Order: sequence, then structure tokens, then C-alpha cells
Amino acid sequence: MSISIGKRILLGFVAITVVVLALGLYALDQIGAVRENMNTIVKRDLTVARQLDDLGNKTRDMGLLRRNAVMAALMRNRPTSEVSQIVDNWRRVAQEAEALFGEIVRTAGTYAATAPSPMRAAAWRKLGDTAAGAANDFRQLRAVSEPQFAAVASRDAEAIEAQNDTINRMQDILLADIDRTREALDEGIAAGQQRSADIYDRSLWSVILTLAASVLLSIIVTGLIRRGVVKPLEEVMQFAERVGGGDLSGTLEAKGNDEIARLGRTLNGMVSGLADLARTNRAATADLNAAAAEIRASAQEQAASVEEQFAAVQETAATVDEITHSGAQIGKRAGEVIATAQSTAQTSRAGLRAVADTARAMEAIREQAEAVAGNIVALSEKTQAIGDIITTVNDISERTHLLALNAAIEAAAAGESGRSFAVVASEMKLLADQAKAATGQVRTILGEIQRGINTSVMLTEEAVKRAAAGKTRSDTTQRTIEEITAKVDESVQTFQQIVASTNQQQLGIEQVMGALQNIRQASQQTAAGTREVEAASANLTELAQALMTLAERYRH
Amino acid sequence: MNPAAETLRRQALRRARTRALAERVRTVERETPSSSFLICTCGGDRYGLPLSQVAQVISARPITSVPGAPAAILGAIALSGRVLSVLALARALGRGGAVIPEGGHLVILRAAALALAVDRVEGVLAVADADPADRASPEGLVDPATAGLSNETVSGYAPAGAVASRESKREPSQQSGFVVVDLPRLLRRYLS
Repeated sequence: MSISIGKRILLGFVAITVVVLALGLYALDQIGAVRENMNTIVKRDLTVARQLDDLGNKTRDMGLLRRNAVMAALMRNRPTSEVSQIVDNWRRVAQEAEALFGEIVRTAGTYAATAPSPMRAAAWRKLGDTAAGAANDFRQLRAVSEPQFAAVASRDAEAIEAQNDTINRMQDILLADIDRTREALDEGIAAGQQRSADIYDRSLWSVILTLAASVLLSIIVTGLIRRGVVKPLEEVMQFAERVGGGDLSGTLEAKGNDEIARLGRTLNGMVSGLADLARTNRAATADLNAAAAEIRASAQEQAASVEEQFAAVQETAATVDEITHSGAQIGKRAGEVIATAQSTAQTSRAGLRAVADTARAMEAIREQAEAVAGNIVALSEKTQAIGDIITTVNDISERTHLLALNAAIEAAAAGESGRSFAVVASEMKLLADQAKAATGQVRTILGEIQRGINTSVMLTEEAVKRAAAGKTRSDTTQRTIEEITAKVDESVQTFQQIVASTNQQQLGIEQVMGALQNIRQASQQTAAGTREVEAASANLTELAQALMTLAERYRH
Repeated sequence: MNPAAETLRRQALRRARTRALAERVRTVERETPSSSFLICTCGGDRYGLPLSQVAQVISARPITSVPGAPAAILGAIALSGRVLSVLALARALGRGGAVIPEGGHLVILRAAALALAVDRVEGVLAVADADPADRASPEGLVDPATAGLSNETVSGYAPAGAVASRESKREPSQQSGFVVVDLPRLLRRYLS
């Protein structure tokens, strides 16, 4: 069944409500029918009863009028008009009674046709028949009354008296008829009461039956709801009990789309989540166990470390003691260094003066070298002049050479007579060649001199440069020595600060000694704490194993 | 240079001058038949020009180039109202195209209006005439064919020992032979 439980319950309630509503409507309808029946009966009976009363009254009136007319006729003193008026009244009333009879008969016929029950119809038919009989008698009464009135008009007392017995008899018959009609009406009323009682009884039984059907339907609906809701819920409860007992392996069969199925799916999801949780829990517990073991090992290591720390603190204390001794020595040595540095500063001032002298000497050397360079340059100009002279001499010797050659040629052309001249020419040429050779040697020597001068110039320039460099270096040295002196002074101050710092250091080391004492106490406290941590980690391990046991309870 | 060395040097110079002056007389006395040559150098080679065919020696001067001339003709110069062609001796002898240096000399010839451009004129040397009967004599000119030379413009070769000049004997380091140029045969090519 795929209808949800809410809808099922709603459906049952709707069915019951519909049945009850139908019952109520039916009951209301029956009550309405009874009331209508009663109304009809009462209205009809009352109408007919009133008509019958009118008829009775009119009949009696007719009797009274007739008697009055008779009495008026008999009493001779009465005027005739009065008698005729009474007769007219009588006729008028008789006319009305006649109409009333017709109306009663017609009404009875109509009611018989539309009667709610056959008994009532029979009663109305009987009443109609009786009324019809009464009307017949009434017409006879009128017929017999007319001669009397004629006698009245004629004031014939005997005729009047003669008619009196017959008319009275007819009058009695008519009254008896009317009484019978009344009885018939009473029967009709009884029949109407009977009819109402019948309707009431039928309604009572119908309502009782419908109530019984409603109860039965309610029982059926309750049974259906129980079967569709409570049984699946019991299965779910059993499953929940299994889960509560730690069995996470099962699943609930969840078919359909109703609330139970959704509850089953939700429970399945919850159980799978619980299984995951239990698995995770178990893994976490195992991790916790391992971690507790590690913590224990760490605590043991820490205990060992604390002992080492304790030993190290002892060593540190010894070392600090040595540092104190060496600090004192540092102070002493720094004092010695200060004295040495002060003597160094004095020495460097002497060196400064010496360097200044050196710089002045270098300057003098440079000036002298520059003078030498000037002289050498002048010498070089002189050698240049010598070179010009040599060129001139060379030119002369060349010309002489050519002259001697031409002379030799001329001598040869002169033949025998020029022979001696040829010798002279030869001599001239020899001289010219020797002069040329000599100028060549002089030129060579002059070149060497020139080179020497150039070298000297370069050397002198080098000397000037070196003297300048020496001056620069002397200046640098001077500055350096000044810096050295300044730095030595700074060093003196620094060492004085060092001595002061060393004294402060000694104070600081004493504080360090105190701090080391504190550290030693702290180490002992740490060792105690470590032992406590070890015990706590052992407890933690036991707890973790207990947790493991608990986690094992869940099957999945 | 100290004064003593100076004195010694001057004395040596004077002795040499004295010897040279005395030699002049002996040279004239020791007259042997010989030919004189003007010795010229061109690019390291020494050439001898017969002195009788040389008119003058002058120093080099600017040469006016002549268009369309043979390669050996450097150009022309004007000298004492004459126009002379300048012939490069080394080129004319087929010894390469060495350019005449700046301090060169020009040798003016008697036979033709021609000047020979040489590197330098060294001097005059006398060589003893060759004895036709004694060809193997080391003195005098040697026939070119005998000396292994076949240039047609060369008329002979004077070995180093054939020079009879005094200075060559006095300065043995400068002794070297020279080629005697046959000027008429050389110039025929350019004057025809």
C-alpha cells in the first residue's frame, strides 16, 4: 500500500464523518417528514373540524330562525316584513350551509387523493361519504321547510304546525349526520396519529441501523490503521532494539513511499552512519592507544633529558665559574693593553713627524728632478742644432764627391795630360768620402746621444712621477698614521669600556649563577612533573584499551 | 774620450795623409795600360761604365715623365739648354723595376742625349787591359762567356782582383767585382 499513513487515517476519519453526517442528515430529514406530516394532518383536520363547526352552527341557526319565523307568524302582532326578513335570513344561511356541505365534500375528496397513508385516505373517503349523506338530508330539510315558510307567509298556523314534526325530525337526522361526520373526522385524526407514530418508528429504526453501521465502519477503519501503522512500527522498534543492543550489521526493508518506509530509510542511513562512526571510533581509539604509548615513551625520554639537563646545568655552573676567572684576567689584560696602546699612540705621533719630514724631502727631490729635466731638454735642443750642422756637412761632402767624379771624367777626357789631375780628383773624392763617413759616424753618435737624452728625459720624468708618488704615499702614510693614532685612542677608550663591560659582565655572571640555581630547581620540578606525566600516560593507555574494548562491542 | 787618445788619433791621421800624398807620385810612375770605368750601383749590383763615354755626373732632380715611352725610360730632364731622356739602368739591363731612390745620381753620356739613372755613382776604377794571350790571367777583364755570363749588353766582367785602383787595395773590405756595360749595344735598343 503506497498511501501514506496520514492519508490512511484521514481517509478513515473522512469515511466515519461522512457516515455520521449522512446519519444526521437522514435524521433531520425524518424529523422534517414527521413535522410536515403533523402539520398536514393538523391543518387538514382543523380545517375540516372548523367547517364542521360552522356547519353545525349554521344548522342550529337555521333551526332558531325557523322557530323565530314560526313564532313571529303565530304572534299576529308582528309585521309581515319582519317574518319575511327572518325567512330571507334562513334562506341565506341555508344557502351558505349548502355551499359549506359542497366544500366539505370537495375538500374530503381532495384530501383523500393526497392522503399520506391509505388509512387516512379511507378516513377521508368515509368522511366525504358521510358529508354527502348529510348534504342529502339537508336538501330534504330545505325541501320540507319551504312549505312551512309559505305557510308562515300566509300565516296559516295549522299548516305551520302540520309541518313542524316533519321538519324537526329532519332536523334531528341532519344533526345526527353531522355528528357522524364528526366521528369520521375523529377517526381520520386517529389515523393521522397512527401515521405519525409509524413514521417515528421507521425513523428510529433507520437511525439505529445507521449508528450500528457507523460503529462497524469505525471498528474496520481502526483495524486497518492498526494493520497499516502499528505493525510496521513494531518492526522498526524491533530493529531499533537490535541497534540499541549493538548490532549495526542489519538493515531495515523499506519498500514503498510512506512514512514507515521513509523512517526505515532514515534508520538505515543512521545505522550506516553509526557503523562508520563506530569504525572511526575504533580507529581513533587505536590511534589514541598508540599515541598514549608514544606519550609514555616521550615522557620517559623527557625524564632522561631532564637528567641530562641537570648534569648540563652542573657543567654550565662550572663553566660560568671559569668564565668569572677569565673575566678577571680579561680586565687585567685590558689594563695592560691600554698602557701599550697609549705608548703606541705616542710612537705614532713621532712617526707622523718623521713622515712629514719625508714628504718635504720628496718634494725637494721632485723639484730637483724637474730642474734636471729642463737642463736635459736644453741639451736636446743643442744636439738638434748639431744635427743641422751635420746635415750641412754631409751635403757639402756629397757635392764634393760629385765634383771629384766630374773632375776625374774631365781628366780622363784630357787624356795623357790629365793624368795627374785625375790623381788629384781621386784624392778629392777620397776626402769627400772620408768626410761623409765621418759625418755618418757623428750622426750615429748623435743619434745615440739623442736616445740617451730621451731616456734621461723619460727617467727624469719617471723620477718626478716617483717623487710625486712618494709624496702622495707619504701623505697617505701621514693620514694613515693619523688614523692609526685616532684608532689607538679609540682602542684605549674601547678597552676602557671593555674593562667596564667586564666588570658588568662579572655582575651578570653572578646573576647567571643565581639563574642556574633556579634552573636546577626547575629541572628537579620538571623531573617530578615528568614522572607524573609518565603515570598519567600509563593511565591514558589503560583508558585507551578500555575504549578499544567498548568499541569492539559494536558489530558492523 | 781622453786627451791622450785624441793625440794618438790625430797622429795616426797625419801619418795616413802623408802616406797617401806619397802614393800619388808612385801611382803615376807605375803606369800600366789600363781602362778606367765609372762604377755605379743599382739595387745592390755594381756596374762599370767606360769613363770615356761619360760626360758628367749630376745629382738627381725632378724628372718630367713622357707618355707612351718604354718602361725603362723614366722621362726627360732639361740640362744646360738640352733635353735629355732619362733611362733607368737597372730596368734597361732587365734587373727589375727598382725605383731610383731620392739621393740618386744621373750619368750624362757623351754619345747621345741620354742620362742614365743610377742609385749612386761610387767612383772611378782603372782595370788593366786584358792580355789576349793569357786568358787565364786573374788580372784584367774576363770574357763574359768565360765568366758564365751571356747577357749581350755586357762586354766583360771585372773580378775583384782585377781592380788596379789604389783605394781598392787599401780597403779590401769594399773589394767586389763589377759588370762592364756595353753602352752602344745597350743604347741601340732605345736610340734606333
